[in-house]
Amino acid sequence: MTTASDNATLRGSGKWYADTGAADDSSLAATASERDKNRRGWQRIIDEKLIEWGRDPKQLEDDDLIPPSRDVISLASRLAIALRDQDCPPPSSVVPNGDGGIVLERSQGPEAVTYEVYDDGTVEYTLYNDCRVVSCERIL
Amino acid sequence: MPQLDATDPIADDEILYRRVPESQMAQTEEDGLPNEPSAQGFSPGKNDTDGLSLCRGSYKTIEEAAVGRAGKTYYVAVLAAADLRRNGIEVVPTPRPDDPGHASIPALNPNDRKTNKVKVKEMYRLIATRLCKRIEGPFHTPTDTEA
Repeated sequence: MTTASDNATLRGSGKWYADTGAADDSSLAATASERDKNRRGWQRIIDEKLIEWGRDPKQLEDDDLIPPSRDVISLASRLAIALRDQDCPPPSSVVPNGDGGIVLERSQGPEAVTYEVYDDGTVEYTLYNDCRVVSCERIL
Repeated sequence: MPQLDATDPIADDEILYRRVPESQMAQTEEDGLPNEPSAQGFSPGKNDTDGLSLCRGSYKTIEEAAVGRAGKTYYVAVLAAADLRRNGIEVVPTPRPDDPGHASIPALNPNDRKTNKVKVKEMYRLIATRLCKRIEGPFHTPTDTEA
């Protein structure tokens, strides 16, 4: 489903907050313990959610919820690994979008950022401030 | 429960319930239990053709509203009609033969999710983060063998 250039795009996508030019979590030199904590958080998500879902996507099926396919879960996993390897803090939630996709979200105060992996393999980054969409861009 | 007319308009003081699957719950405390609905818990699903499905509190208890697919676990988000309307979100009764207390948010439907994506995203995020009064649960719908 994804090509080598897709993976390169995912690796360059790491941003949890608006690129305002101000320092953010990833641009500041994180301490080693913070980096370790972030990596552990990501690994927990990758192991306990994404890999587990990939083992049996049907476990997410529900009356009104289309589970993500193995391809979508694999793409979400690649995205998670790319963000982990850029020392981004882990998301506060990783959930199915109900329509065959997966959403990774991180919130801090009034700001929230989501990466949504759609069922067709596209990936969309959305930045919210106080529930308003500030920016929305397709990254894959 | 008293006899109710399922087509009665939803009054401002009515309470509404939204059943959220466990998989669409978020947790804000590291290593904690799911404790708040993700915005995706209010995203219209494939069956929400007349709008995001809700349940009128005057027709079902929270426990009854939580009943879903056998073997699955759910939470119930509690909403107030007045809060929704104050934010420009209309909610209407959409009774069904097997669910007279069914209600819907017409603006949150699968079609608008594609054609009016930003507005829909903002609306379900607002409901999840600002208008959800509380979360009840978890509730497990037993299988035949568990019952």
